[in-house]
Amino acid sequence: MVFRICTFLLAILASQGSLAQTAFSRPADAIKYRQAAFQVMSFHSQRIGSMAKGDRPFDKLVSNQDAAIMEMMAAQMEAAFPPGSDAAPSKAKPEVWQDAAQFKQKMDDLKSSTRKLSEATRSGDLNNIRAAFNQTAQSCKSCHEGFRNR
Amino acid sequence: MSKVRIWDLPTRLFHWLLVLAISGALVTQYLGGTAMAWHFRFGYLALSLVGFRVIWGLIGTRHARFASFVRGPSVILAYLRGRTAPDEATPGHNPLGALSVLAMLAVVLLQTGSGLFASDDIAAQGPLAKFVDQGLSEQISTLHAQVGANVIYALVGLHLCAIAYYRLRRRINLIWPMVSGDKAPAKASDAVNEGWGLWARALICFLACAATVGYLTSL
Repeated sequence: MVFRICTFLLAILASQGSLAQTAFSRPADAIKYRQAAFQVMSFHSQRIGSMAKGDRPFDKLVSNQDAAIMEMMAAQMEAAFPPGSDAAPSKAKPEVWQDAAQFKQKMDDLKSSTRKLSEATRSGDLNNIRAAFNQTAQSCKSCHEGFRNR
Repeated sequence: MSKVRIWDLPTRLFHWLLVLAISGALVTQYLGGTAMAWHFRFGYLALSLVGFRVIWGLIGTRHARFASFVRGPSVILAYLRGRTAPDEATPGHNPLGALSVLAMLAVVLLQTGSGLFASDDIAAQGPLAKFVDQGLSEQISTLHAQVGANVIYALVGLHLCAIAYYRLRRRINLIWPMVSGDKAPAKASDAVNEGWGLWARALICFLACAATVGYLTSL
């Protein structure tokens, strides 16, 4: 009897699926989270971007921080799009869920390009950072084009 | 009839530099990332050029002045009806072409103006975006990236079609006069005079516009 109950409970826990289902109690929370994460990402992207463009003097430590934060935000992003979180103020297009495979690819692309950006900032070579920044900017842009409403 | 100077050098330089600025802005936007620094520069150039052209339309040589080619609807209709008339009748911009001149100047002005307040949500933010709140900047960015860009593509496309129409159907080359300034056949009385004095005045106008743009972007 106890064994049956335990198996039953285990089955329920195993069927919980993605972390997101337990991470956000409301769809609105997921929207708030991801928009905040993008806002944080934007600030650091602008800062490292202005270094890459030469508008701001290069500071290796600051660029390390910017890239590290962007990499961390990128890692959290995918889980912040649970099904049913498409109501306003979300700017996510329905394709995020309808074309989930493509969306995942964009997310993977973002994770990989921010990781490469982090590696470049550890090298301290501005040319490497510039190239990695451009690639990251492309990842951002490419996802926005297909999956974000203006 | 021999060639007659219709388009002064400042007007011609304006035209081709604007082609460069718009093309450059388009390409750099497509490339993104660090290329956005150049997108901004091409935008500042376009804004300075439009500022210059508006002033030149008031104080420039005859065919550059708005007063000489901007006509009302009745004149435009009359021109359209009698459109097989010889081209000496309109040495400069014809009444219909005048509309496209005004439209393009207005749209480029709006596009460059809105760009100053826009953001691409990645790493590029216009120099005046900090003076408006984020929500407004986002709305302006949408106008800039979604609406303005498409209107410019449409107007440029229309412009190129018109040039092609003139070349292929009416066997009139409109590109060369905008390079050399000379048109043939044309009436000698339509000729404009140009020289160092005129060019100096034009340069001063352009530099004043560029300085104004430089000041605005440094705020």
